[in-house]
Amino acid sequence: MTPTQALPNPLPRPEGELEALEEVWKRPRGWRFVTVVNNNWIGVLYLGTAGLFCVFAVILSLLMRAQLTVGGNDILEAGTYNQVFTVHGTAMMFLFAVPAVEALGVYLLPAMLAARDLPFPRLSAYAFWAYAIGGFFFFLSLFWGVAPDGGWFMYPPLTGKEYSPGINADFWLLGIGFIEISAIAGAIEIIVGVLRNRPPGMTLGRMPIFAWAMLVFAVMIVFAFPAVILATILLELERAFDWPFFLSARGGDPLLWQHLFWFFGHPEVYIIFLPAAGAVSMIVPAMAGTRLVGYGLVATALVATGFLSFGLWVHHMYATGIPSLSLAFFSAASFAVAVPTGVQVFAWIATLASGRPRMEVPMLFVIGFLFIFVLGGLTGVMVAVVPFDWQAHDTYFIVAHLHYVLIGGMVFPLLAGLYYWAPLASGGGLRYGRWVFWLLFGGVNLTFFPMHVAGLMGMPRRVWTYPEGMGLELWNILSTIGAGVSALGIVLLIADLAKNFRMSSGGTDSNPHKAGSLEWLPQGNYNTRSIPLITSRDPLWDQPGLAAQVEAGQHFLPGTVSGRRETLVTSAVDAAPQYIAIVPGPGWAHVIAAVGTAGFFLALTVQWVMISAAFGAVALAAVLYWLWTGTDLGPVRGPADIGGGYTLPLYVTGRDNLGWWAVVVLMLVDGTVFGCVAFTHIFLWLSNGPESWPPSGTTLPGLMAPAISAALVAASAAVVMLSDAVLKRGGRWAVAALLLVALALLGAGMGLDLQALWEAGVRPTAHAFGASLYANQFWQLLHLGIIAVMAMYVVARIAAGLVGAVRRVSFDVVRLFWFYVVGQALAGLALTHLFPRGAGVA
Amino acid sequence: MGVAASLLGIVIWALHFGLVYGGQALACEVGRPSIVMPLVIGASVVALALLLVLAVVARRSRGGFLGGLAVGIAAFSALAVVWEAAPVLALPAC
Ligand code: HEM
Ligand SMILES: [Cu+2]
Repeated sequence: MTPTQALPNPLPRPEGELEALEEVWKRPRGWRFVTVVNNNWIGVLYLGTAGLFCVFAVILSLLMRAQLTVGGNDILEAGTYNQVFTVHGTAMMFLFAVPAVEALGVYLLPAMLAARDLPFPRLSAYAFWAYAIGGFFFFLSLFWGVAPDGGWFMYPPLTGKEYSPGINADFWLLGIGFIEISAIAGAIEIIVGVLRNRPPGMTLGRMPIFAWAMLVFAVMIVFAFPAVILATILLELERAFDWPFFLSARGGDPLLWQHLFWFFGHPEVYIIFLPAAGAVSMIVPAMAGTRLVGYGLVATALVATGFLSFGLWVHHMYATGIPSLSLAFFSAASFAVAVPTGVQVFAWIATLASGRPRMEVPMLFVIGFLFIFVLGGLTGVMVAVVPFDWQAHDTYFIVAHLHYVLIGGMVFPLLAGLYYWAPLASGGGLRYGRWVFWLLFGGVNLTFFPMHVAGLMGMPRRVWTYPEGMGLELWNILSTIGAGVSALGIVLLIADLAKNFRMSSGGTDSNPHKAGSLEWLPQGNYNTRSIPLITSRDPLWDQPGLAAQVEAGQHFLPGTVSGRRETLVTSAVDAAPQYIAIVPGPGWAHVIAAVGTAGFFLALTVQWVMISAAFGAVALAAVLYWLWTGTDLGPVRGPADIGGGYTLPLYVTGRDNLGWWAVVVLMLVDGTVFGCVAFTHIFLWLSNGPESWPPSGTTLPGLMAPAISAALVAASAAVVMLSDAVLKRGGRWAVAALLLVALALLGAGMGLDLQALWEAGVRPTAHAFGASLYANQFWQLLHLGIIAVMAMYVVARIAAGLVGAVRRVSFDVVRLFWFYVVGQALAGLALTHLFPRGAGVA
Repeated sequence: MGVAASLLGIVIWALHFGLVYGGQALACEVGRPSIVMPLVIGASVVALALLLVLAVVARRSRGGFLGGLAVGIAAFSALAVVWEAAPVLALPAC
């Protein structure tokens, strides 16, 4: 845009406009700081906590390396060693890697997209607190000797009740529960934020690559985490109530766990890697001083990696006796996914070659990343070859490979990002980067390169010691020295942060790296003073004067129009302005909800059922309070002028509403869990053989009962539709009454099915057949419970006069989810009653 | 158009993958190895044809960046389809 063209808002700005904006976005002071929700603060807390958990996990790895320095050492006993490597691996994957990249997104995305905040700030603050509290207790379990010890992927039957009778395994299964919840919450936040909170003019094709990467990341969480959510539920049901999903004596199959776990676990690797790659795609052009080569190709490659990585999970199961053609399908898919990653690597190299790269610290880490990650990728292609993997499986070669990929692909880019974006978060930059880099680069290679050799010589992973005289001594001593060197690097990094990093509301007045993306605009708690009109992919390079214009308030929405926190909502593809969303400020409810959630899972682990229920109730009450007071405020004022000829409403209903989008994402999550329930059923059918499905002696109820159930459930959807029509005509009590009728119908339909199954004599404990049918029941009844809470909530809001023909977002959201639950219930009935009948014939 | 076409490319890949992997597992389970080869090759030809049509339509519609995205996704999907189906030519069905 040239300066002669008119900007959205004229100068001078009215008196007090900026002050009012600053006032509503002020951060809470003193001990009230825990109520903070703004992403500039939550993002840094989140990242810091992830870093702290990483340090804890590194300390555990140093213990392991100390133990393994020489054969026959006795620093750690065998049992303790098992706990230590399990907690190390689990914490690195679930408490460090995923939360760290998510935190980077929470911190950076609003700034990069010139949004005032994420669309649901309390949701990400809630996710953060649940994660921080739960994570601390997870580590504490080590001190009581009750930490999980079945490896980070927790294979049954080892982790079943028979071989793991203690509560160690439960600590994993329930302890991971809060991580699952906070990952999903973060995914909803990021998907909706990236698609709907971009600045006007920033079409999908102009979005920063980091935003593309975070979008793919979040969508992958939506489809990958459900598999591990269901897997943990099933294993916990088996352990607590003896439902034999994984016990082959009663028709279960331990491979079911492996399929579900790795359907999550492989995408997980890319969930960790893609945001890191996205960060590299931002750093490389800035350091090279030129545009990213192949923007479109890189965006396409990110999407392609995202979906192709869902077709690889069986490559973790080469050694399980699956037929060789099946293995070959997955082997080939594993090669295919290397192609889009290669495309990105070439794009970065081409960008570096076409510019004049400055060898600053972030650039060093990027080069370290390329070197280490490419080596890890090469060993990855090696182990994707089935016969090679049979040799290397469960040896230190795998330990070497996975650390090259994870440290190269995630830790180094994260550190590049830390040094690159630190000036943004703290005003000043960090200082000791070169030393940190060389210590870590040398240390990591020295730790993990020798492990390739030890592994090829036959040293198995997950052993607490090894015999002398097999030639393993040298390689293990080198590894331990390397771990020490890496530890020095980490200590120096912590010193750098302690000395030179000060949390601030964000923003630098200068653009220290001369980068082209929006996070380098002048910022405050509210991010940019006004929301820029975007006309290019690298706005700070192509739109001269943008920083000054934005700071002066010449772009959109330069103040607050309602006296509350607001953010601009735009359309998903073209980023055309749609409405102004009011976002919540600081509060206690989400903090209490987080304490309740973490307490719920932790108390359940140690089987304090009543205390757990109490925590759960507190969490639910806090969530309801927070929804009641903080969402669906209705039209607090009429449409407001944001400049540039746009007069936007502050309240919209229906498909454009952000809450509607959040529910759609949630439905995708639930639908995927349900898909995994169906997979469980079909897989166990295949594994038992059609002739014993249902097993002899078990009969399903006749088709009459499920037909009535289906009719009742469908009727409940029809009644909800009717209530919608009544609401449109301004009805109030009739709407409430209809919702209660619909709830009764849904409950009757589901209850009838449960009763029919039970009366036909099907039991969850007898055989995996019954177990899988009751897993379906469990999932359906959980949704009945959710709908019941939702229906009561809306009825209460109607009673309080907070729902009507205009103010109806709460109602719309519940209606949408209701239809989903009805559809899922019908599919569940078909799975229970029709599939076994059809499959028995085949 | 571009967004829908991009998603469609992913869906075609996913259906092909599910059909090939699930179909083979099923065929072996019920003792009909002879249908594996025709199933895999048939599914792959259909998937490739659909991806080609998708790419041509997306290109024609001049969808700008999103059109390019759809073509690129169709290309990656096609690559994966070919790669994933190829082992059937070399290995026994079950
Ligand atoms: C200085 C850094 C690190 C050192 C010295 C280290 C050391 C080790 C060692 C020795 C093991 C093998 C234990 C065994 O099989 O007996 C291991 C396992 C593992 N590490 Fe690390 N590690 C480091 C960093 C990381 C990072 C950054 C990640 C992930 C982001 C990670 C993820 C894992 C995982 C997933 C396992 C497998 C655990 C299992 O077998 O269940 N590690 N690590
Ligand atoms: Cu994998």
